[in-house]
Amino acid sequence: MLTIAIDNEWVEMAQLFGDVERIVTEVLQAYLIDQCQQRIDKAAAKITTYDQKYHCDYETFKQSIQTDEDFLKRVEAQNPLWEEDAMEWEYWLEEHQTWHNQLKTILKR
Amino acid sequence: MAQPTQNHFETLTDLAQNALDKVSLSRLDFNPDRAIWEVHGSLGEFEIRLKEIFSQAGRMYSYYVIKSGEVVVGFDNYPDRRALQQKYGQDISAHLSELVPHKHGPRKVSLELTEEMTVEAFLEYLREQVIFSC
Repeated sequence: MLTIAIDNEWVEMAQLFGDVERIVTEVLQAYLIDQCQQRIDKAAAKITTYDQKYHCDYETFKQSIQTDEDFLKRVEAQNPLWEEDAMEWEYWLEEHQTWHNQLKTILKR
Repeated sequence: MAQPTQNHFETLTDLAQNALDKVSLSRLDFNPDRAIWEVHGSLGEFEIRLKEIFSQAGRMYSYYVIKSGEVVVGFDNYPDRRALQQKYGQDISAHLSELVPHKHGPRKVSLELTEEMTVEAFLEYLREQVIFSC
């Protein structure tokens, strides 16, 4: 268990609302939930941008680009730098999954 | 895999600023597990786009030269169909997640497999190409 120094002024104010340790734990949990949610929302917005740009989800996109020559030609004609998008699309999906898992872990505690 | 530090990306940005004109850091996001670095610049009439992503898949990169909206040359390692087929033949099903370094020629009409490229090597490649120094 980590010990953290908090200014007496804050501790005294927190005591007005109950047990300081419980309050700090609750506030920290709320902060972490908020931070996770912000990251989830940011990743979700990026993913939606790519879903809309390519009219499909990433799994469909990747499978089509690797198996469907016509799909690849169409994508390349419309956006010659599609690899930049594909890489980033994958990145944001990974980011989304990671923070979603973190949030689940926090909420279970 | 070990993720790069902010210092790593500052070094890449410095390299780009020394080699290119009108350099702008388009994006830099990183956390302990993942990172994105993206820089745009120019060389004369050519637009240069550099992007690196570090994730669970490894280091993905995309270094492109663009002129009038069309690809002049580009290096990336995204596992696209043509690169996988050149490396493994028609049956690529076992390699769909594998990063495959390759180079695209003008207008992406041609593709050839390459060694893994870095920002430093790409900028050196640009220096060696007379067309980009005009």
